[in-house]
Amino acid sequence: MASNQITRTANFSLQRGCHECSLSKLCIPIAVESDQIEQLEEIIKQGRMLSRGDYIFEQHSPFKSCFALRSGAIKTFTLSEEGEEQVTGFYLPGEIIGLDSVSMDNYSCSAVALERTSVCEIPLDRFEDLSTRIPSLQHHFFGLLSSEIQQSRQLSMLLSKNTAEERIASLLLSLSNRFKRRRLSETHFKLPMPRSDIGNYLGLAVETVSRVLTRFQNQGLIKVQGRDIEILDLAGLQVLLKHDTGCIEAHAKAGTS
Amino acid sequence: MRDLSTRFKFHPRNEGLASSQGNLVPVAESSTAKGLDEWFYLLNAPPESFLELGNTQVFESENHAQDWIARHLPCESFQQGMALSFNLPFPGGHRHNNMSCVPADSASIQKYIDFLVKEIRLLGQYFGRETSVPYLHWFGDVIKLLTPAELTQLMFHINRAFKVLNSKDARLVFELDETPENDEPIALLSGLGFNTACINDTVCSSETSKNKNIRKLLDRLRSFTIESLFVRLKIGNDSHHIPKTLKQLLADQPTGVLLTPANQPPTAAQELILRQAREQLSLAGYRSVHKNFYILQEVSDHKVTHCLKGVGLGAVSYTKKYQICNTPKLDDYYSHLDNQKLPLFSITPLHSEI
Repeated sequence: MASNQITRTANFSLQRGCHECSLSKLCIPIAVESDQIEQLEEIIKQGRMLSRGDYIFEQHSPFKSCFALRSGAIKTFTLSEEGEEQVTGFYLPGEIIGLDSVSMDNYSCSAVALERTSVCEIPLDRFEDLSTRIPSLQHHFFGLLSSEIQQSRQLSMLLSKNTAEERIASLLLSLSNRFKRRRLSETHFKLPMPRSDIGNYLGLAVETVSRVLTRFQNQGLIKVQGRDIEILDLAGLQVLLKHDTGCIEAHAKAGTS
Repeated sequence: MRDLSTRFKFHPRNEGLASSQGNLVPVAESSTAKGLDEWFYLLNAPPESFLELGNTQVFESENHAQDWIARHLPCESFQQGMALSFNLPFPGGHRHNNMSCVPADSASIQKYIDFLVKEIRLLGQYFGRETSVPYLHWFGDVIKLLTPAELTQLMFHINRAFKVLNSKDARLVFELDETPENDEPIALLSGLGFNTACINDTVCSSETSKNKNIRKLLDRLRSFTIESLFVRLKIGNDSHHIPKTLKQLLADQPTGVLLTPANQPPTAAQELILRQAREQLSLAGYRSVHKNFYILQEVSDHKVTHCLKGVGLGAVSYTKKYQICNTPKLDDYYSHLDNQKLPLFSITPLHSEI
């Protein structure tokens, strides 16, 4: 077993192309034919590694590229003039960051790695050139962009109207869907972010986040130990949401055509 | 202010118009005076001079059209602020009598969208990136006709080509013919900057339960910060439910209400219902902007008069001096744009300047 693991590790290459990437069915390559993937690989800069806390890009810096997350987790945030951080999103492997800035000169937020993370850089000018030659790529890109916009708007609605329970349930269900898309367990996963970031993102105090998670546990909806989450009653969590599950679906669709 | 119904005449393009170089061709009187109750013309009034149209000249060729543009089209009138409207000539959508229809399959629709983008890019090159767009209007049911990706694609390129204003005074308008099944399309439109919705009479109904849905729809739109909400009520001969419908609707204070009689001129029965509705609206604190169009007293008359650039198949544009029409034929529309030419078909001079 150990030797197999070492072999697998040795074979793992950060420079592995799109056609070998296990996330190709979720990421950009899903939009192209197999004989077009080479053209995609020519423009995408693969395998940039980041440690926890490293920036992928900073708010207000000139916009050049979007980034596809290959492994790890990323949070995006904005900084107010007073220096207050506002978390705006969490991203998992197979998802694209930077889409909210594509029509701008500068990045509208910062993106930082929450753990050891690898990303593929997609320079937008070259991507657009390629998209004019591969229409399906262009359409997929705008599908991603529309999902990002929808998600952002629905999150604003969620935060303005819903209770703490509904917000946290929505986040757990969103994460569940996103792990499921990657063919990982939808009911047993590790939260990629600390509770403080969850609270910031959902507009809740960190104590409220902890209290609600404990309440969910007492109600038999989840089991929580540190960052490990086991969803015991998926349907029960869904019932908590009064509004439609559009926000969750938007999360689930992010990164797919 | 003169009644819009006497001010404005719109003439759909007549395929039978002959053209000869330099000769003007008489305009054929349209069988239906279009534009009387079009949201676009109520929210963005055409220039004062749009009273009577002169004789129409049909362009003989692409080069003829481009020569004319170079010599006559007053660019400066657009650069001061330009309204944009978009034609989606799909089955069931908004189109003129003689306009081609884009086939309803997804490939044909995507092709049309791609060509709309070409036209937008060409216009951006022609008028310049600094041209501000304080008014943008999607005819027909944009939610029903376009996928989220297509709508995002179009708005992306519009924002690239021009300076689409996002101030409170700017209007980005979409029309709704159906109640969306969920909030996703509303969230998208809100995220793309749309701030005004025009709810058409196919959504309203005599059934109380459906009227409750209208009120819920207004709430949903407002929750996504789409705050300017205009509702159209169609008045037929048997529309005796209108006073009750209107009473329920006014409780939610839409920004404006448009009463559309089914017949022009209205029948006696319709006129009676219209009179009742007008009185209800006045009592509820609405003021008449146009004979059958009422807005809340405290809302400023947001009619923004800008030169219009219509985009798409058969689209109509106007400047201070001219009404200009895009070609109504799909093949011509595509071939113009493939040749990097604006798809103009004809021009009609307006009689007087603003």
